[in-house]
Amino acid sequence: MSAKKLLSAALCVLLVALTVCAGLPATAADERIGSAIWSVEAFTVGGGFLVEPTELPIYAGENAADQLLRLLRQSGLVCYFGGTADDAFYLAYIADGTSTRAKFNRYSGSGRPQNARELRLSPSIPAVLLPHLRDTMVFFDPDDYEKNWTGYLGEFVFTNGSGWMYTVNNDFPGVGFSDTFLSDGDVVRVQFTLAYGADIGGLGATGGNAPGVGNQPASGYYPVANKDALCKTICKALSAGSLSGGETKNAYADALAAMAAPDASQDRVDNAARALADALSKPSDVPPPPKSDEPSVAVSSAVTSEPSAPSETVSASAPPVSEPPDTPSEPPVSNPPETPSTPPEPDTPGDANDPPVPVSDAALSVADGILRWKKAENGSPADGFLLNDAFLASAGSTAGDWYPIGLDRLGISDNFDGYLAVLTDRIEERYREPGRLSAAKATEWHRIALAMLAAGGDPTHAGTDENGNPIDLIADGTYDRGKTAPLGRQGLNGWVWGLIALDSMRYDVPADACDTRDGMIAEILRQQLPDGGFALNGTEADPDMTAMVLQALAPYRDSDRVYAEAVKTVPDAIEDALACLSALQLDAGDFASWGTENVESTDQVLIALCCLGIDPLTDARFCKNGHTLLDGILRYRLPDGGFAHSFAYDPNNPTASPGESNAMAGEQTLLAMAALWRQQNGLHTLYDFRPEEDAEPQENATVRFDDADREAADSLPDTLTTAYEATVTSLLDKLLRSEDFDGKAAYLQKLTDAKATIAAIRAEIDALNAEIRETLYPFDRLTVRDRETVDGIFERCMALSEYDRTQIERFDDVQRAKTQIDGALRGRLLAVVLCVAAAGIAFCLVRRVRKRRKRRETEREELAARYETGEEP
Amino acid sequence: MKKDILAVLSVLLLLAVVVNGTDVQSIDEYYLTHIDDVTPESETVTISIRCDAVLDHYDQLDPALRSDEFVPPDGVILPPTEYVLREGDTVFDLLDRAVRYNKIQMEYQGSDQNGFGSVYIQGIHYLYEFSCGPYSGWMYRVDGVYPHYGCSSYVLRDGQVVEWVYTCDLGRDVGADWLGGQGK
Repeated sequence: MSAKKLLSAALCVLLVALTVCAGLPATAADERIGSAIWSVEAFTVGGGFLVEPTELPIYAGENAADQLLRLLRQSGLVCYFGGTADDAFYLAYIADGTSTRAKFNRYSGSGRPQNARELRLSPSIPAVLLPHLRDTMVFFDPDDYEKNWTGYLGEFVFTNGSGWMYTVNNDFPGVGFSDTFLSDGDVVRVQFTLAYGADIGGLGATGGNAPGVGNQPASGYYPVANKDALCKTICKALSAGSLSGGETKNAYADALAAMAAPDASQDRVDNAARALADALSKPSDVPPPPKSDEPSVAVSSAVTSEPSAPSETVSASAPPVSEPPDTPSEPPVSNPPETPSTPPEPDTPGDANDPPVPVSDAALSVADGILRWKKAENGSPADGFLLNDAFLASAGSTAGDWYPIGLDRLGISDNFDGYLAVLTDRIEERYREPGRLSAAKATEWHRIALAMLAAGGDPTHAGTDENGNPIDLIADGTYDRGKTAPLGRQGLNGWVWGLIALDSMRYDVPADACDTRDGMIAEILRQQLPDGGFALNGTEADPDMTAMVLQALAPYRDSDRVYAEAVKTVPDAIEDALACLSALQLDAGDFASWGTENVESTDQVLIALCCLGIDPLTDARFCKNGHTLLDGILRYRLPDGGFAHSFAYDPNNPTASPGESNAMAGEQTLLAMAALWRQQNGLHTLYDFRPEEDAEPQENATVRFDDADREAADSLPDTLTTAYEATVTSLLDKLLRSEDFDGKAAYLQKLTDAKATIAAIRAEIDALNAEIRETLYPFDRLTVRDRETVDGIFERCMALSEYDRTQIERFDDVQRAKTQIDGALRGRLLAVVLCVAAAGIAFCLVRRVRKRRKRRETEREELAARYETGEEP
Repeated sequence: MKKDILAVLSVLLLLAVVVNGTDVQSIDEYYLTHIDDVTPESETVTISIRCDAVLDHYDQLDPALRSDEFVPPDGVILPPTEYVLREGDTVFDLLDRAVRYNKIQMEYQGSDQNGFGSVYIQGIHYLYEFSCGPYSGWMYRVDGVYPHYGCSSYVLRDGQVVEWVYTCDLGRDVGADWLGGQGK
């Protein structure tokens, strides 16, 4: 510890003290406009009042979130919340006041209060709740709090449907704390729910559609009494402080018992309130106990809830599908933590009496919702391109390629030219690496080939390789894949997607190819399981794998050929696989894969049926309990238009949010909607990219490098960063294809230079990342001798633009290494300086001492001389 | 005289010792360079990396990797090692730190490059997915449980134990029972 450090610490303390002092008078100056009674209740877990009913002043301009934060602070507790007090405040956890975490599960903490206290919960869930929870909850563990959450009570504790909700005057507000402004005399009860409010009379408040909420009985678990009056009376009793008198004591105990019973009848609650009020009005027989100096706090309950999802959507009645309402008719309660600011635009709520919407329109509208969500996520305006420059960065990856496929198959135009330009660039780049697109996975070629077709390109001429030959993704990725690595190296997926890619344009397989079409079909058929299904491995069918096999085999469904010994014909194999899938379908119309109910499996089955020419909405084999595949898919739709992968909650990983819109769920549902829309409109199946029979032959329209393009090129900054990679690539591609115009050469020069500059930056980033990995670690081996290397890396990082520097992996480690070496160097320098100084001082000292001695000697001699002369006058 | 010189020298010596043993740093610098120091108060997590399963499936292994250099004879690529838990650390952050500090090769696909929205570990120590058969690749468990989530979505807590294990059979050979009863 250096002295500097101590000094800084002292300064910090001083500063904090000053800040605190300065902050104090502010609140007091605000105008008080009334008071509300607040309580914080954990009765559903047998935890009583976390904050007993208390009167809390309301200051002008203060919303319920401000009040709640104040209440908890003065009660010595901490809360963790999403949003801010002013906007989209979401109460996620109430925690021990001693909790020192700045954040908990991504939620911000309210800071340690002065009189911090612990929750001290020993939960015991009332018996009346247990059977309901066991029946309706995906996850329920009565010991969860002690096991995983001690000191933190909030969302996902005990069940997948738990969290904090609140009532104002016994009404669950349709909005969050930030948007609630209280009036004098309001009673606010913040209550812990285990079941989306079904246990506290507030199920409707969650919009009825939080993940898994469909399992809850519509009217809640039992009727829940209005306990506001009781709460008020308890508040009065507490502030009167006279609870020890015999009658009062009993009445108070009864009142608490009525509060604590989740299903207490209204009569019982009213009687308890009346009895307590009566007891209080009588003169007490015992002097009131001294009031504790801990301010008791009143809390009202605001209900925060799960993000509300669309209500169970479309009733399963087959063909006509009414568009699922995007938002419940009442505004969703509170703010979903993840999507705080932009509520989805309400679609027309599906009314039972509305005329049925044609399926293909329904499919389009679901697809629109997905695109709306994806655009919002992507930073594109709702009417802009999904494939904007930010999106183009993911061209050629699994994150990018499926969306353009979905868009094209839905007949929606977008920035396909830009996508194709960047995709081609990436392919050429990757073809220069040893494994080309991938050493292990042939499916890289298959997905990219489909994306290329969707974007209007030709996968057999996907750019040129280092020798100037055209890159043929179909050959290299399917029938000739075996020249580099077996097509089936990654298992069944390699064969299935190879066949799908090969049949996307019914490409011919040359006679000298490594694998033939028939061979691929035979390989797939060989892997059929005894139950009729298919799986990556193992002996039980997986719905996704089975469905994808059906998509691949669909073109051969009428063939009675025997492809290999001891395998079924394709039609037989298809029938068995369909029977297997039908048996796997769940009651809600969806499927589970790897133990999790999810939307993607359901999407794949729907696509498979469409590829086979089966109407997925009317086929009796795929209608369970009145629920079709589409119903099964729409279960996962969220208010933002996107889709959740699953609503299953994983207690092992409370930080992963199961009910959030998810990229893979969105893209696969987009494809499913495209498959359905194509079927309804009599178009080729999803992965059949051959031109439609009646399609106009495509004209080779001349490309113009128009004003917008020129402006985009002109506005490129002088200092380029890799952020402009996609823009430059797509502009240059367009320019190269465009007809001549004045100044084309100048643009060509500019864009070619820009592309080279960016490529150089990219190379520098890659080199730096490799050097950092190579030279910085382990830190304890770094010495002053490495100074030059580390300084060099640091300076090169700093020479990058701010954007490019974000692509340096672990730049913090570079800083750390530099700091360490600088520190060591400074230490050494200091040591040298001090030593030199000390040596100088020592030298002076010695000289002075010597001088003094010499002087003394001289004096002595003089004295002696004088003495001698004195002796002999 | 001699005494003086002796005194001066000892002062010098003392000074040198003190200066050498002292880091001259600001508080920020101190925290930056000592962030990984395990003290009694620090929250820590433990990580190990193993590839035992490959030893049992050597015949399936890519011939180019059949060497002790890539597959250690005891299957241990990194023995259990304790690291300080930094706020918000995910399983991926911990792995990244461990392989950097120990100079172990690792390749991953960023969360923006796939549809999982999470980092996907393609290879560690030159062992990649599919290097040892079509069901092979890297998996992780935390406190003995295989989560259903990508490693960059799993935020760690104090005291948790992370194990990265190479499977040759979609997890079955390394005790993953998360297949939901599939294909047992």
